[in-house]
Amino acid sequence: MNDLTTSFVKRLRARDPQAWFELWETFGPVLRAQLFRWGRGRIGVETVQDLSQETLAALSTAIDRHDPSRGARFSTWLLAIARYTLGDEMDRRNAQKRGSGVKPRSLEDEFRAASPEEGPGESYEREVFEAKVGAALRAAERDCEFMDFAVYRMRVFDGLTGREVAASLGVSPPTVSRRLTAVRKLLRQRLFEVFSKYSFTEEEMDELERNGLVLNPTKEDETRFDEAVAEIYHRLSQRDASSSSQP
Amino acid sequence: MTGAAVFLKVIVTAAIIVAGAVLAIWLLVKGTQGLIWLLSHLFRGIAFLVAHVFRFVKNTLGDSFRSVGALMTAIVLVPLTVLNFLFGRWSAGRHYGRALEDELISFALGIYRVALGNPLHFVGMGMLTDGFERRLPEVVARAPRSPKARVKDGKFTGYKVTGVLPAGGSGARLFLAKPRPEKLKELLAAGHADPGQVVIKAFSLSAGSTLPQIVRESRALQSARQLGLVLEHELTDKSFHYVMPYVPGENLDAVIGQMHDNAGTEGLSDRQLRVALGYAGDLLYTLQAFHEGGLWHKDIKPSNLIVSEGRAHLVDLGLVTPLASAMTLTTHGTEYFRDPEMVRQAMRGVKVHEVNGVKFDIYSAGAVLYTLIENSFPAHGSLSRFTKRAPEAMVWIVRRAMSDLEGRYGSAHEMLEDIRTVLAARDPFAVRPADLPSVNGKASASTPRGRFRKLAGGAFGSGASASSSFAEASRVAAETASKASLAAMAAHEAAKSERRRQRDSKRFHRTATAIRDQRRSTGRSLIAAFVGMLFLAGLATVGLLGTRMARSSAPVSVSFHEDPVAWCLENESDEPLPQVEVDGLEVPTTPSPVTVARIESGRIARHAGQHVEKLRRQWSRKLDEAFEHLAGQGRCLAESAEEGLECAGSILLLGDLAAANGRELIEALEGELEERDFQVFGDRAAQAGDERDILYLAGARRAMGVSDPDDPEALARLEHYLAENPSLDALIWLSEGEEPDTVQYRFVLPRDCEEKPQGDFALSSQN
Repeated sequence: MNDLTTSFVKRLRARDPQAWFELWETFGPVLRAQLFRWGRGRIGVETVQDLSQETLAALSTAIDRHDPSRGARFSTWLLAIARYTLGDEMDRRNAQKRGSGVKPRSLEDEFRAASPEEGPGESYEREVFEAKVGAALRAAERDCEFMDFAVYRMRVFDGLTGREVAASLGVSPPTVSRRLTAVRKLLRQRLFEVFSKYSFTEEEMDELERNGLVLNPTKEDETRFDEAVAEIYHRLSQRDASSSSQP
Repeated sequence: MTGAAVFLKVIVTAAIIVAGAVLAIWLLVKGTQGLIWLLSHLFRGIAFLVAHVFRFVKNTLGDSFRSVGALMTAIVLVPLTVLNFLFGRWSAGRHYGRALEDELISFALGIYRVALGNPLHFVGMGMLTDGFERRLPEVVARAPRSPKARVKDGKFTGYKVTGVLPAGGSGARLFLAKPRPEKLKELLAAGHADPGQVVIKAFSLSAGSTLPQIVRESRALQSARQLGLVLEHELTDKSFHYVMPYVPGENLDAVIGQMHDNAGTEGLSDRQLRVALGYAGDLLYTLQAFHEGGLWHKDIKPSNLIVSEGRAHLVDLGLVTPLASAMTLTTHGTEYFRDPEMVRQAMRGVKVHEVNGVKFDIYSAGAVLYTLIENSFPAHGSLSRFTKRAPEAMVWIVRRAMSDLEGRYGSAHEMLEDIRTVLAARDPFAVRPADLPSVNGKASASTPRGRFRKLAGGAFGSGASASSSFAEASRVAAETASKASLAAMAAHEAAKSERRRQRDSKRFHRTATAIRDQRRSTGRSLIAAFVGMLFLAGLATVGLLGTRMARSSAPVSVSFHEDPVAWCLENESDEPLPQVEVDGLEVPTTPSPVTVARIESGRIARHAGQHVEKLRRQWSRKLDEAFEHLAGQGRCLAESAEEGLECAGSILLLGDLAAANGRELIEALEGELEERDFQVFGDRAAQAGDERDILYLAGARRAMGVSDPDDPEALARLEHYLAENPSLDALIWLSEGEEPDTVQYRFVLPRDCEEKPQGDFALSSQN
């Protein structure tokens, strides 16, 4: 575990509202998506919203007892708490329906059986990874000049050529190139920070390179880096679009 | 037979055998592929049908059981309700009554679904019930309810309560009311316009409102009154209410839904995009007034915008906060329309005056514009992706508005300038971000902050009080705004035309390539299909049927054999126009003779290097003929200068001409019109204009969409635009003629022209 993780966990334990908001901003959508998948057909969007908040509330009590040095992934830990929260909710509902006397364990088994995934599935892990990249993108956007990020967005996300970007913004192609390099550098820094903050294991840190986001690049890595970022960005926003159209 | 002949024969035979074997294998492979394809689709179809039937049965059974359950519950609730009322337990009686109502509604819905909804969905006619199931409940939910038994008359002194509106989340109740005559006199004396109907937002501690809610609502009241947003208020020990003008109409959420329902899957049409930009312009104009008055709205979202008579009005003062407030910043607002940075700041416990509330409102305005384009909320702030078509400059405006605090627009005025520039462009898709005033540094200075500018009639006023509207903004802003936007537009005009031409050329090239590829692809498919047919004749028949079906379901492009406007000019009758609907907007199917006669057109020749004076003589002749003709028909353009007016009228020039000779031509027309005492606006040759040029052009472009002068729908919309803008008397639309070296011009007069007094000037048809 690195210093950033340690200090972030310390901030969470100290109930720093900003740290909790950061956590919510980054993992809230992932939690909602996972809860929605588990409870499909049985809980509505409003309940999903409530449960994701309850998950974070439960996390705030669990954080004091948690020992990150055990090496469990952050995402696994979060998922376990979310599952527990959902189990409680289903338990409460069924108890209300039947009067009383329903054992929590049986409900736990029931909703697990209804879920197509046993543990933290591949899609969940991918969503967690993409959420971290999304957080890094937001941080990079916040920290660099609007025009610089606009250049990066047009060139990398929208797929325009350098000349097209230059013509559109009324700047010269070398300026476009310079700004691209600056944003790439900043984005790499932010990626490192975000992944360090939310990673309890070495394996989580390695995810970056496995997905083409090389932090110490050679010249050839630059194109791969841009392509990887664009792909993640599009997947992320596509999922947002589909989740935003949910009833 | 010689050895060579035998050898040749062997070679030929071997070649034939090999070729035959290859052909047989190829046929076998193709045939197998076809069979597999057909079987897989057959199984998919069967699976779909089974799932469809299963879904139908499941839904029908579920709805049946739900109905029976609801009925049984209702039967149990009836005696409870009756007994409670009998024993005088009114509150409990009402509670059980509401529960009974819910159960009965649930029962009725179940019966409806079993009898009608599910069967129609089953046979693929679910769209028929869409109105009942979705739109009707929405309309019913929004309808003002009767206030009877809820409000005692006289509760609000001076007002007669006429209805109840659905309440929001602020804990207040909303009443619809009419001011009594004496109250109306008071309001008029206080400088308010006649509001017609008003909304009274009432808080009462006895009805469940809390003191913090009342405090929050009342803290910005004085500023709101100065802006004309609130007519009056009353605060007592136990209750608090304030009165606002009522804006009838639908909220922007519903309007956006309708716009996208009418649009294709790729997004809004050009015309709808202009309308969307207009709504954003209305919002920003109102925001500008809020910010100048030192107020922060704090809850801008589509459901807080009411569209009335084509204009968006900002409502709900629930979270309005003075920008200079010393209170602690709260996280109130609506997710996705509230800047996450504001939440971050609130978490730090900062005071309101330590943050720039203006920028947070601008973020929300950007989110509203995003919703207009996408019909979905921006889940990732400025990182949210655009999936629907929109001009590049429009996307830029949204991203700039939702960017980090540093990069964001500094004021609503700055964002409004950018929107006006896109609106004023002939083709918004041709506007680059670099053309926007905020990017090229030619934005006019913002109006100073901390000064109250009353929204005459109120931003919440009825449609008649349109001063908050974007169109009215044109007139108000003209007094103060600089001329930089116009200069920027003129400077970029030539470059834009060139780019447009290049883009069209590229587009044409791309289309031609796509058609060629499609043909090649179709050719290859046909060969494969033919081979498949040889191998499996039966399958080929099925394949042929499938292809025919696919062709019949392909979109058909409609073209009209007649020029609608020419047709109108020739046939001044009540027969219907050949075109009836465009972009889901109503187009008059039966043009009245008056409508037709108001649109006059003609052509004028021009040559490279032609002298302006020579062009003026041509224009002079054309205008003389036109005026004589209209005078003969007893119609007018405006009162003449001889009747003591400053000018004969105002004319807007709309120039869709190539940059080459357009300037001289417009200069000549402009000179000739000014000679005749007309005031000219719009695409003028002279670069020194005022902002009214851009604003009028923006309005006209917004009305016409991206249409050509032969589109009768565009002309009809321009007539309406002129009728809504009494400052303009006519519009002349110049465009490239079909023949070389000609320019086509069309006069458009407002719809209500015949109601004006007759004047000296008249227009006639030209050819």
